[in-house]
Amino acid sequence: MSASPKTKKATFLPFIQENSSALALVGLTVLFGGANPRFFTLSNLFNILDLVSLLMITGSAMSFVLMTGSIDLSVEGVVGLSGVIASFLVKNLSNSNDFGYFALVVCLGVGLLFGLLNGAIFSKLRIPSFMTTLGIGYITNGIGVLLTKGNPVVISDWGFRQLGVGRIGFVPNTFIIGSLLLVIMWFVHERTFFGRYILAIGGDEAIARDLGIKVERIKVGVFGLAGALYGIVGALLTAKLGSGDITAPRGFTFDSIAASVLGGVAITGGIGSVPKALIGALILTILRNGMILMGISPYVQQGVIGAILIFTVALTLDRAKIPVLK
Amino acid sequence: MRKGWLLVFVVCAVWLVGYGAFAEEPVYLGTAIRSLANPYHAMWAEGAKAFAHSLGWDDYNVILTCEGSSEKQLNDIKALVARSKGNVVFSIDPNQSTDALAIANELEKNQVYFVTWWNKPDEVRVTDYKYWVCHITFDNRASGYNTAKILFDAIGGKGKVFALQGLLGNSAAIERWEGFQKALKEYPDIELVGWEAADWEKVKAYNHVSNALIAHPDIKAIWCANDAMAIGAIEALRARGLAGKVPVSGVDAIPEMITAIKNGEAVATVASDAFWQGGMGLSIALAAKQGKIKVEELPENKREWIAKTILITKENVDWYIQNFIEGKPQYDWNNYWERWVRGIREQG
Repeated sequence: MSASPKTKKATFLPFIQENSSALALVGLTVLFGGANPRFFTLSNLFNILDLVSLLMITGSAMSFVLMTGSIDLSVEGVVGLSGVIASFLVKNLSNSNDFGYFALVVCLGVGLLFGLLNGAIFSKLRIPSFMTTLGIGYITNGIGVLLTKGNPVVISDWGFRQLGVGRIGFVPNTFIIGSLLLVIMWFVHERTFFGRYILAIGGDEAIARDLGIKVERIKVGVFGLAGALYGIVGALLTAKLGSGDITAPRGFTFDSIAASVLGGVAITGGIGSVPKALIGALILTILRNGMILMGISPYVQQGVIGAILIFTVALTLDRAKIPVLK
Repeated sequence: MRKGWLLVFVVCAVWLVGYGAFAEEPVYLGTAIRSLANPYHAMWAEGAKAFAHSLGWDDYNVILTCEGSSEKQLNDIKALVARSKGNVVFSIDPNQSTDALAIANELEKNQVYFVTWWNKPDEVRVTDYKYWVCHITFDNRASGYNTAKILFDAIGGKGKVFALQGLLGNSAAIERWEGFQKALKEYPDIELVGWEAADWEKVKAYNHVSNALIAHPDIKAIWCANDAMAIGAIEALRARGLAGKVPVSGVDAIPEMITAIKNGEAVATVASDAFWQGGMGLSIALAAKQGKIKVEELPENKREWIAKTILITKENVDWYIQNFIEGKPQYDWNNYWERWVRGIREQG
């Protein structure tokens, strides 16, 4: 009598926990779709693809960092600085450069550089990652302010702007680029040793070290990869908004962490995947979209997101304990 | 020989005394603002620099940025008072309204003259202080009201309108919103179909407007509490082929917005002329220190006052570009009350 509900619970609860974020995504979709029929229109689908595209890149990058058990608070600075650099390189109203799409490559390089710097300082000098990345975030932000003197650099390169505002059919270019990047990251995570080591380090760094994994090198690589992705996002953001503005990515750090966590990436490390980060980014975007469609008061919207975030962290943390309980 | 030395000494002494009498001793000019990362405060710093340069005191011009931290702002101010041994005047944009009080108490204690802008609790009276020369602000309600009216007129006074608020709880956001509400009452055929708080930021504005256009595809115009959000709104409209078809309004007169008005994508913004603010705040505080303004003789409506703004629309945008972007207007830093409109506590 007493044994049967227990075994039932044992199979049911882990299933819920394992797929909580995907279930939440489905639940939200049903809820919002029921509340406002406009939610299920094609134009809203493409709208959501447009709004999620940059977040899914920064979110996946952040999930890699979180999976190793670290955190990266330099998102806003690195995205902002790359965006500013992009605006100076393409045709703009402040100088006579016209390097076009080459700017994207430079941004990738700039992001990579600061990402590697994050990783190197953090792992070689043994300064906690939140402190290191916060510092690098300030430094990159400072360089951006210095370069622009606080004024957004307006770009006039319509070819470059197509990266951010153009569409193929109805699908936004930013989403296509983002999807390509996510496929690459998924491959790196699931099909390479580098990817496996990331989870191993996040799970238990000491064991990973004993197994002969070069922990420092992997960490530097993860931060470098994340930085390179922020660099690309910076260029795309500039293309999207039409100007390089150091303040434009304000809030990106929070959103990236929130997306990872909502998707089920454990903030304590060791659990996560690229699809999880994608689901998290979709949840956050659809939440904001749906709340506006439902006409929920702006005074409570922030609170709703905060509450859902805490709830999700509670769920993912619980799951992290399961192997220990065994 | 000895006479020769005496002569040299006398000449030197006369020269030194003369120098002391005619050249004013430089005073540190402290500007405390939020950040240099936005065009508004960047222009403010330019104005401060220009004023210092007009006196030949370039080396005494100090810009303090608090990056949104009230504590850092107060600490930086204290540090400059200490460094200059009190030989300093300040022009301050307090990070938050409530900060004005702590700053005032600190500077009053050190007998340092200062001017504040924008943020101050209503119940705090400048007249209760000796060294707080004045608090200057702009009519946010008028800015919200005037830009809303131009926006409503641009769509023929009827149709669905969406609005973007600044940071909820920010005094500029609340007051501009009140002005917008007042205009709404005067236009019964305008329907406000929704509003969101985009916290003064471009990307949030882009996202909110994108979503709002799904909820209400027939939005005719978008009112924004500042220009950065207006630019975000315009880019969201552009991604849907609606830029220029759905007019947008803002406040602040950042260069991108001026271009948008010129291109017909935006219809109105308001300039408080940050360059003038940057120079004039220092000029008034310095005049008090040098005794050119007698603080105790100033009437109350010149201790807390509202300064003139410039409403920019497509009618005067070319004039504004000529005089404020391509050229600089001539500023007379000694004409302290040139832009005085009325006391804050007087009805507009």
